[in-house]
Formats: sequence, C-alpha cells, structure tokens
Amino acid sequence: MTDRWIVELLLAVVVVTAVGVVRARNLLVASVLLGIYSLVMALIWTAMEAYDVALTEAAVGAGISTLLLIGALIRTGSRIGGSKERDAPRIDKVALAVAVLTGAALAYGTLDMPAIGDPTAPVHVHPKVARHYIDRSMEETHVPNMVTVVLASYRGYDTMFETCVVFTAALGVMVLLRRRRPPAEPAPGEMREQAIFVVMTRMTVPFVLAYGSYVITHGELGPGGGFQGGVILAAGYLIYALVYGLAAAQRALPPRLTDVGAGLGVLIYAGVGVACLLLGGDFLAYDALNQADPAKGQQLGMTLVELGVGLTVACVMVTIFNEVAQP
Amino acid sequence: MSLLATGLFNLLNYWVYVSLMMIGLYAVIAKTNLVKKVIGLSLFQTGIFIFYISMGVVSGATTPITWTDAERLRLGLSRVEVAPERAAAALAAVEEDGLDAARAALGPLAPADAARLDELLARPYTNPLPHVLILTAIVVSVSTMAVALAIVMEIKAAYGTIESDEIVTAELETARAARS
Amino acid sequence: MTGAELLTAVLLGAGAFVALTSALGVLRMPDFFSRIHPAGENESLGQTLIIAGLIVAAGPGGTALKLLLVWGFLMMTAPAATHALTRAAWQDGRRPWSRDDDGPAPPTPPRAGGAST
Repeated sequence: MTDRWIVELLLAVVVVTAVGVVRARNLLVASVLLGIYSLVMALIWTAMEAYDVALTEAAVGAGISTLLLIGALIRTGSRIGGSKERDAPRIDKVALAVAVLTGAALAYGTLDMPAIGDPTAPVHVHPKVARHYIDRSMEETHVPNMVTVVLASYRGYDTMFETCVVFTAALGVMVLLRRRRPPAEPAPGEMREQAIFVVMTRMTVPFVLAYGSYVITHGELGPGGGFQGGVILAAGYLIYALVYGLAAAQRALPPRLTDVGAGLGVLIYAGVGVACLLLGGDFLAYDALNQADPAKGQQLGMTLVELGVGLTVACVMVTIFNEVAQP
Repeated sequence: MSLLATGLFNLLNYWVYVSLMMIGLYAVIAKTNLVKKVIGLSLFQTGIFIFYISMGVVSGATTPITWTDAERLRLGLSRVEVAPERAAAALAAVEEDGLDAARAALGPLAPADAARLDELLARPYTNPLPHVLILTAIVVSVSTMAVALAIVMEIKAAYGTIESDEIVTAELETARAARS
Repeated sequence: MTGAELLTAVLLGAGAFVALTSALGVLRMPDFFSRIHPAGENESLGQTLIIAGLIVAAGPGGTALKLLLVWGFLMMTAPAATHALTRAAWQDGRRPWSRDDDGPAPPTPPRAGGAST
C-alpha cells in the first residue's frame, strides 16, 4: 500500500467534497462536484491497491454518472445554471440529529473492528475464502488476476445476478422513459461544427473503443474485465454522442442493436452455465468445459462470461444514456 | 483521549466511511429536491465502498495479481545495489529452483539492501474479495441511479415539480377535492 | 542520488510548482475567462513536466511508452475541454471582464440573460 498519509489526505478531500456536494444549491454544481468526488475516490482505490475498482470508478463515477445527472437536470426542465434548490441553505435539525446519532452508533461499532491493514484480521485468514483465493487460484485456473478469478469463477453466481440487476435496470429505464416517438432529429449542430471537437473525437474515440475491448478481453492477465471494459466502451459512445449529436450516434449504433446486445450478454453468461451442466458438471463450474485440462476449461469459461458481462454492461449504459438524453 | 488517538491511527478509514454515509443520509432526509436526494443516496453508497475496500487492505501488500517468483526477484533486484553478474546468476537460479536458491546465488548483501529485498520478495497480496464486490457494486449503483433519475423525470412530468413537499401538497389537494 | 533520480526530482518538483500556481490562479483571477487560463496552464505545462519526470523515473520500456500515450491523450482532450467550457460560458451570456468596465472586478461576473447566480 502507498504511504498511509496519502490515503488519509485523499480521504479528507472526499469528506470535504461530500459536504460541498450536499451544500451546493445549484444542482449542476452539485453534479460536477460529485464527478470530482468520484475521481478522488478512484485515486483512493489506486492508493489502496484496488486497481480494478479504480478503473471502474474512473469510467463510471467521473464519466457516465455525471452525464446522467446533467441529462436528468435538463430533462426535469431545470435550465442549466438556473437549476437551483428552492430553499436557502439551512440546517435541518431533525435530520442532523438522526445522522449524528446513527453515525455515533456506527462509529461505536467500528471500535471492535481490527486495525486497518492488520494481516491477521478474520477477513484475511479464513481458509475457504480469502486464503483459498490467494493461495490456490493460480494453481486451479492458471490465471494471474485473482480479482477476475473470484469475480468470474469462484463467485460466478453472484456476478451472473449482478449482471441481471444491471440488465433489469435498463429494462426499468426503458419502461419508464421509452415512448413511441420519431427517431432523434438532428439537432442544430453546435459542437459538430467546431473543428477542435471533431478532431478530438476522431482521434480519441477509436482508441477508447480499442482500449475498452482490450480491458474486457485481458481481465485475466491484468486489471480489467467485463464490468470495467463495458463502461469504457460505453464512454466512447458517449463522447461521440456528445459531439456529433444523439441522432448521428444512434445512426452509427442503432438502439435496436444495443437492446439485443444487453439481453444477449446475460444469455451468454447463463449459456456458459448451462453448457457446464450439459457437459456433466455443476452450473458455472467451468472445469467441465475441458475435461482433459480443468484449468483450460476455467480460462475458457471466464473469458466467455467476461465477454457476456462486457456486452451487457456496454449496451445497458448506452441504452440508459439514449433514454435519458432523448428530448 | 487514548481511544481517540488509537482510533485515528487504526480506524480512520472506518470513521470516514461513517461520515460519508451520514452526510448522504442527511441529504436524503433534509433536502426536498428529489435529484438532491438521489445524489445523497449516491454518497451513502460510496461510503460503504470505502468500508469494504478498507477491510481488504493489508499493510505493505500489493495488488492481487499473481507475481511469479522471477518477476518478484527482477523488481527486487532493481531496488538494491548488486553486481550485474550476481543478479544474472540469481535470475537464472530462480527459473530453476525458486526463490530460496536465487537468494543463495545472490550471496551476501548490505544489511539495509537485504532487508529491503526480503520485504519485496515476501510482499503479501491485498484481499481480492472486497475488490470484486465493490467493482460490480459501482456498475450496479450507476444503473440503479439511472432508474431513480428516470422515476424523478416521470414525477416531473406528472406533478410539474421535483420538490417533495410540493408533491405532498398537490396530493393532499387532489384528495381533498375528491372528497368534497 | 543518480543523475536520473535528480532529473526526476527536478521535473516532478517543477510540475508540482506549476500545479500549485495554477490552483492559486484559479482562486485569485477575477472572472471565469481569466480563471480558465491558469487551469489550462496546469493541464498542459504542469502535466507535461510531471509525465516527463515519470518517464525518466520509469526508464526506457513499456511503462514509458504508456506514459507517452497518456500525455498524447491529455494534450488532445484537455484543450478541447477548455474550449467547450469557454464556449458554454459565452453562450450562457458571460463576457470577459476587462479593466475598461466600470467598477472593480465582480466576484461573479454579470450575465447578459437568465437568472443571476
């Protein structure tokens, strides 16, 4: 772990930023501050050696969620810059009392926690959980990135249903917001006519997409995987849509395609599980995919489910953005 | 007083998670604007993320991606003063017989260098489990936030406002009109 | 301390200094358009110095190449972001403050239209 004081300094920064987010009366300011908050959070994850988490947080927190918030502000009729809370900032005494009391109870609870970084803490020594993942994963799967092994193999069930939750969220947004309406009309090209944006988009979007695909497929060897790569792919689409307009983006990637893709990813994941069943193993026990060499079977299974996760996550993020941004 | 001092040293991350969650909780209760409530929920969630990742931290540990013995040795050798031919011998030994043989092939080192090298060679991994839980939770949190925002947009379309107290007033008036 | 380490320290120190001065500039400048100028200084000069320092520290190899790519993307996206910000401000009715205007620099510059902040 990086020097502790760096983590502590960053933690102080996030607390101050969080207070700023809550105090800001202008909702646009609050949204942008929340993006900064997430970016500092990504630095904290890096300093705590959680690179996979940092990768996800940077793409989601600082990119996608900020855009969604701003989109929602525009759609709820709050003119940018004028989207204010109505009341003057005042302290709500009841809410403050509830928060302080709950916080005190939680802080009292932490007194029994082992110290931060203590290698003998129960979470680190349980023989069937953390110790098994760290000591045996290389031998059982020949995959160096333990985060990917735990995500896609040891806890494959959990991840499958997380993917289902993401997919269900997209369904929810579609049900709430999708109307029978003409395809997005080309808005008066504001950013599209500016050479600097066009050049920037042309020079970065292909690399963002290539990088997203790399992160999805190389999750076994280094930080990365379906969730991280999927959000990076979606971020590439978002940049394109911001500069060229929603109509052009939807011409390049028709919403029908992303609808199918979101479902297909979940199907790929569950399909790998069913394939394991048909080959005589347990559901999502990838050893069955290659009887001669179980480690090879594990690798194949993980690669396939990561592809499924990446497809679903990318398509869901694009769908959500399309629905929220559609005027 | 000593409780505060040991807590600050040992449990600071946990206290930060409590503060962030409570800042979020305060926003959810005190703010009437629905978008602000959604933002408060988002702060609450990130507080929990800090809690999980902090539990996974191990002092002096590296990220949970397996290093082979040769990779560990190569990094270790780049941080200490050692003659090139002895380093080459150690790297050859590690491929054949593992770290202990490589350490023997390296011969004696300055005490500070030896301690540094041994620490790098025995570096533990952080706990991968919290990382897995939280990286999926981040993606789920943005998806659920999108659903919440979609509901807020529909509320705006139905009531013409996103202030919770104005919505309550409007509801009360509708109910009163229906009764009379 | 070897020559490479010294060079790294000097470059990183210079980068940190530029970052600090630009942060001060953002706080001290009178209006939006002049504030964005020191911010851009950090994005271009400050980050270039820091990345150069890191490249020296990493030595030739894959890491240095990746850092160079990071630098390339930063040089492409940072000016575009600054451009987008200033255009948005201009369209929102903000105009650069100049000394010819009456009175001292407004803490928040007046806008041509819309609600005041």
